[in-house]
Amino acid sequence: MTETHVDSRPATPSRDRPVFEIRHFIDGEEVSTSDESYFTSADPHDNRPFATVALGGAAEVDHAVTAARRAFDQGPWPRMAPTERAGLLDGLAAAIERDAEEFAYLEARDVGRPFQELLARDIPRSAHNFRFFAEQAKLAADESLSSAAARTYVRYDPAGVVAAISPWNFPLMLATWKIAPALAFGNTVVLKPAEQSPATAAHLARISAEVGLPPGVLNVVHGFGPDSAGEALTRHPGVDRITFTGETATGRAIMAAAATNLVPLSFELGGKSPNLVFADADLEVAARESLRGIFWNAGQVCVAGSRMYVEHTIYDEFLSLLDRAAAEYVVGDPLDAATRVGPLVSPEHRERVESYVDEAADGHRVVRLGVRPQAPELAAGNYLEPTIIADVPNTARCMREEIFGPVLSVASFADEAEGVQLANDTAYGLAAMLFTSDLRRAERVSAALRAGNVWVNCFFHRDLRAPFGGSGISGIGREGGLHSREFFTEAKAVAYAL
Amino acid sequence: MPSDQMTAVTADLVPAGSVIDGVLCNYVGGRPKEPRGSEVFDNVNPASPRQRLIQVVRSTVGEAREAVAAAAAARTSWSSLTPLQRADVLRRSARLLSERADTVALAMTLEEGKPVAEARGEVARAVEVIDATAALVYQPTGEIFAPRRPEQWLMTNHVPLGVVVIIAPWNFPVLIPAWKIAPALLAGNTVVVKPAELTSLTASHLVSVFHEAGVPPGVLNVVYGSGSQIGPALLAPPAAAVSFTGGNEAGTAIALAAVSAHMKFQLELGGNNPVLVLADADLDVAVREIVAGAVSATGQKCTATRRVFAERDVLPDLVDGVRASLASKRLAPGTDPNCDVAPLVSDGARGDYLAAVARLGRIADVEQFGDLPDDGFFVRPSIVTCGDVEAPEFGDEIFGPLMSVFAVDDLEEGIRRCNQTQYGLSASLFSASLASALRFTEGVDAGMIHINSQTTGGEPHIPFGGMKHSSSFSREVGRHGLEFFSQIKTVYLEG
Repeated sequence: MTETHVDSRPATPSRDRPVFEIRHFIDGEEVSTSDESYFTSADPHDNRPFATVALGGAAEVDHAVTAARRAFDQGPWPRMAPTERAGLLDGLAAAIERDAEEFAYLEARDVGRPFQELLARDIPRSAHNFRFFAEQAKLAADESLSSAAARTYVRYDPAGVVAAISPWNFPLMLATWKIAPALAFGNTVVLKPAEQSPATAAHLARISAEVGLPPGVLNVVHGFGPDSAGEALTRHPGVDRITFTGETATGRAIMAAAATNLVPLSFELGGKSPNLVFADADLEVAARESLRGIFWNAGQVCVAGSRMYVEHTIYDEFLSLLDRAAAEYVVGDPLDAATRVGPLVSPEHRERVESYVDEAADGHRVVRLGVRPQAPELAAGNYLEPTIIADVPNTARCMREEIFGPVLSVASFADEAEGVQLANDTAYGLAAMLFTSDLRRAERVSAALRAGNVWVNCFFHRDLRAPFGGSGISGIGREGGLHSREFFTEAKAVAYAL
Repeated sequence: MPSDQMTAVTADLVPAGSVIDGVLCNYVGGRPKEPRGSEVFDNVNPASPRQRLIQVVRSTVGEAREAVAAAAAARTSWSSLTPLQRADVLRRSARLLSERADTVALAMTLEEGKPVAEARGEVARAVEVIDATAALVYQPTGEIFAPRRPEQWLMTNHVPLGVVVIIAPWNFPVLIPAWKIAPALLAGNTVVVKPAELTSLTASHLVSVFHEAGVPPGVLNVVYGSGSQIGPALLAPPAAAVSFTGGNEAGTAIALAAVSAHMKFQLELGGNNPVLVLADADLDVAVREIVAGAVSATGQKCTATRRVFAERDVLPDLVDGVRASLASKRLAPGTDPNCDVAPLVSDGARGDYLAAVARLGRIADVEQFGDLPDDGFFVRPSIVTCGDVEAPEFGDEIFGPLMSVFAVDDLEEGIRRCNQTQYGLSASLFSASLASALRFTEGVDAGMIHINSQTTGGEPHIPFGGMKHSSSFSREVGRHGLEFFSQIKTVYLEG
């Protein structure tokens, strides 16, 4: 027998696709904005136009909410049995997998995420989001309760029209993380993707019609936040739920807007997540996971472990370990298979991140200074190498504010109590990491940390059944598993007299 | 002679209305039943065996059948109450038992032998278990499922089994019947309980408490006597289920009878519970917990520590610590406030223990500790030092204050050795390592895993039970314990 080598990996895609048009998807059809206004989406690799995008406003939002309202109030979707909805959502998952390369390409060009990583992680996970919540909705049992006078049954009825506003850092994965439970529990959806990342949302909407989702069930309106589609959506009286992932400042604006209509909302906002490394930890594992926790997706991750506290006895040793291991984070073209870190999303964002780097490098101990890479082929893009700064006090701006870039601020702590105190000294409360081999310490510290997710000896293990969200200014509410059901349904107690 | 002493010692320790002509009688249909057979047996004080505590009726097959019939007749009177009303009765029972704790504990010490502090602890746990079971009434009792078609409701209702037979052991004569009776009653069943003969008096207090708290006549019946004599009469229609805690031989016989009679069955059986001590453990904690696990209740717990594996480096210090601890233990009657180790429950139990010590002494070195009192079923706590010896005998159940101690090279060998037994009830690890704790939890085949605490004990709201030959794969106590005592009715409701 002869062995043939089959390379299952797709060939590196090229940038020669012409600039194309992205339109809204409303009531089962692609539509432009009535006055034909549009904006341009640029490729972060070279900042050249990648797509022209319909720029929606109040009229398009009203059109979309009306369609979603009609699909909910009169259409089959909320009246279908969960098994039937699950069949259609499974079909959508399969279509995502079928189009995996197209999704990965669109997202790599749209926001600069490494193409191979998208193919390996985000796109399969997006398909899995639909499968998981379809199954969850099919199998989740409701309660019945007995008392002397009545037997009470609890129903979880669909809530209505869900406004979903998704971020640009994991565009398809986080959009589907909202859309999938909303649809699975019988709601209809109007999605406003971040203006930086319209492409995969548009393609998702297109294939949702193809696999048979009824018109109006999933609508996508493009545009900006303030004074644009985003604000119009959060103020629209036809909306029953708002789920938002993004910046804390935007969250405040949305909450104020939602107050008018008293709409329940679910927020997953910013973070400044701490990472405690104890001397008794497996330091190789701690270094590897910690770096993944801050340099993955160029640090543009809400749960990034951007504040690191290291036990003083291993502080210097661990800093050198980090520095050595950080060399693996090769910055490069997202379409190149060797790239671990792509460009930041926009020139403005890079400048903002650089301002933190400059400030931190001035006066603190620079372990690794991230500069704009020298390679000429990267010169037009928003590239920035990873930065590690040590001896940073908790009062420093780079220890307090969310940078959303590849910048790790490090400090040492004397003992566990101080480590926990430093970790909790923040208004955020999204995630936390801790590295230790000590059983009791793992229990004590994970209990003491104020965060929605605590990862012990690892980073970013997500079980879709587990609650996800943050405390403090990192969010309101939790999603995932039954927590998603709680948000996306109206619980109804039906009491039958005995 | 004994009978005079009996009156002197125990007159206050017998629940009102449970004795006819000096004999502890069955309680059936809401009243004590005058014995129709002539057989009675004597319960004695294991610390002072010439002292007879009480005479107890040894029920006939006919009397056992009557008790089941009474339970069957009472079914609707109990199941038609609402769950909240049944839970109220349980809560009142818990209060009464709590008020009577000293009396019940003293009866237990005199009859079963355990130190009075442990007896009080057991009564307190029984109170907690009954309360925690009553609290389950506020948990959802049924489910609604996603329909296949709109306008369709699919739901479950949980309904009682009917008459439940409870066969209880002597080693926890209040706690174990309480954790079976409470969920059986909450779920709406009626009950026939057959306590171990050796602890009939103690059990009578529990039955009495339930009745005084408002359990209606016939809902909870008690028959005393020998399981081998009246078991077949209990394990037959109209009884619907049996819950048994005891030895494996009896358990197998009960399971076979239950299958033949088409009864649901639940078995909680033996154990031979291992402890693994790693080099990074806190040895003071390990010694304290190992000794408590092996010696409390004179080692007569199904969860008692029986085998100790330690990493080679720490084994000598560990064994020295255990030796020192055992050498300080005082053997005395359970009523003595300075008692550390009480007698075994019976002469038969003592014979079995001495035979086990002799058997293990042929393959390993046995050291014994403590001074034997002149009277009573006392035995000396034993350490069996085994080094690297592996033998199947070490995996058998032994009911007494004995531990076998072995050296192992590492965590993986320790896990393998822990699993060298037909049993799988509980297991403990002593280590400071997170990774070792996670690996042990995964690798050891036991229903209950303790990290840095003894193999015994259990909370009143979480599942208790074992793997392998230690149980019939169900769990007792808490939400999971309640599951055994009901069955599911699935309802398809078409609009």
